[in-house]
Amino acid sequence: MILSVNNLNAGYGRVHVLKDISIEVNEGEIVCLVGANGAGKSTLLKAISGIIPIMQGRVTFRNLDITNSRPNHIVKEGISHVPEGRQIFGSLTVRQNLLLGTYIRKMKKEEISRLFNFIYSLFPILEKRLYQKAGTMSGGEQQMLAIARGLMSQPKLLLLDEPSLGLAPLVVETILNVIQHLKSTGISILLVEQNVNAALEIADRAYIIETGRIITTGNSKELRENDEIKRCYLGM
Amino acid sequence: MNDVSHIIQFLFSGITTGSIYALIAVSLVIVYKASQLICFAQGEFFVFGALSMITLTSKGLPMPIAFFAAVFISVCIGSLIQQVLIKPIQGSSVGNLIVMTIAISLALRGLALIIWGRESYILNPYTKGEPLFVFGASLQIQVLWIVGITILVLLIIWYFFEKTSLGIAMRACAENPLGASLMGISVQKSALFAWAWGAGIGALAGAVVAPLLFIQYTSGVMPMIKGFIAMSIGGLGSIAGSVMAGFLLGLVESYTIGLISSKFSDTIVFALLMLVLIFRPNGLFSKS
Repeated sequence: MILSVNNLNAGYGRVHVLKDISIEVNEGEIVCLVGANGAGKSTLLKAISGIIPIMQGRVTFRNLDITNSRPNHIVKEGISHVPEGRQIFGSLTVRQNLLLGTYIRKMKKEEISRLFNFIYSLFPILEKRLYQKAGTMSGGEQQMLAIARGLMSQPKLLLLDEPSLGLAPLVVETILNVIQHLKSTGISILLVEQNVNAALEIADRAYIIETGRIITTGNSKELRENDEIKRCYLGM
Repeated sequence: MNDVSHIIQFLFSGITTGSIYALIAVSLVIVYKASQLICFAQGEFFVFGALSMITLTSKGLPMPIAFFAAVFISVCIGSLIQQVLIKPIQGSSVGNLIVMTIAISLALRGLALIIWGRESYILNPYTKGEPLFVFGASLQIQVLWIVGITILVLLIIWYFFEKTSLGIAMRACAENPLGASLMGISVQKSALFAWAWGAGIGALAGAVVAPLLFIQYTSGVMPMIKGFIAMSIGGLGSIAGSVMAGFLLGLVESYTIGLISSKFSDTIVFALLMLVLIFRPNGLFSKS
């Protein structure tokens, strides 16, 4: 097991969003969080990556307690969070954005250029855009940059928040393919995705989250055949 | 003196004051970008830079050492203020933060009054020497120091924010704090560095101009206002824009004083600000 979240409670200020959440991600697995808007999916990712404080409960990553650790420690340990809305640096070039992904690690030049080549193999378009200001790119390219930037810290676990939101179907397919490919390179993935159909295609397991609680969990195949899930999330 | 030499004379004095405005404006922009906040205490760092350099040289310290020490003192004061007074209220409303910087400005002015009293001080020029004459216009050697040091500092700032990973990380923090903290960049440290830079550049502006102006504890008010106007004309968040606006203000002031009357120099600067705010609210040099 690479990540384990036990009875986690968290929220914003006095607003209590997550209630006794327990989830696990195993090595080399894609795990999907499914739920309506406002259910607490993004909040859970933020609590794991140290952006918001945890009120109660424990987060363990590779047998290390990272509950309420600072974001920079968590990145250093090997968790990378690609946030909702991309949060790229629009006034910086694509190259500068990517280099900031390595900020926390002191890397040798060869290692950085190897990483750049890995990124180009995933998203060839970024090589062409290297010296362009990130803010001038299309939404799809910005999402690719956000994922690529997250990979620059060489994470063992990638937290992906709505990577397909607002993108054209072709781009969505590219991104989902990349996610599957990342799994084959040994990176574990915790995915939040509103495109539940597509998410369950590529995920091994999923958790269904409703108003801050986990209500169901199972492997993707079981969940796709679950009548209630079909009705509520798959529109069938 | 003929007309040409007058025009050149005004150019020299415009570039001199322009350098000071540009430095103060840049120090404001750096703090603004990191903390989304206009620090009204920048003028006091200007005074502290000038007066501490004067005191240190009068105690027998060599000019270059006194210069760096004066800048360093303000860097320390700026960092301390950020840690003790700004950091605890970071996240409260912009109004609260601005009132805090005004309070800091008044407190530092009071401190300067206690240390240096009400007298005005002037420093000896950095290097001795007769003024140069260019087309009949006189050019004091100190002006060359001011312009040279200003250009050097602006180049260092450019290099830092364009080429070093720490500088780029600070820009990332300013633009998107959430994105930056997810990269493991400490937004708090970035704000601290920005205050250190801001205070240091403000003090440097005071230290270079100290041989040309009589400076007392209240002398920071006008440079602060002019720096703020340059920053606004330059488009608030733009370092390059505020540098250009700083020099523009210096030149406009100098030619107004020379060709019209010294009575109108501030009026014209404020009128320029109003025109820019009405017609180009994103800054005189902005693309949109």
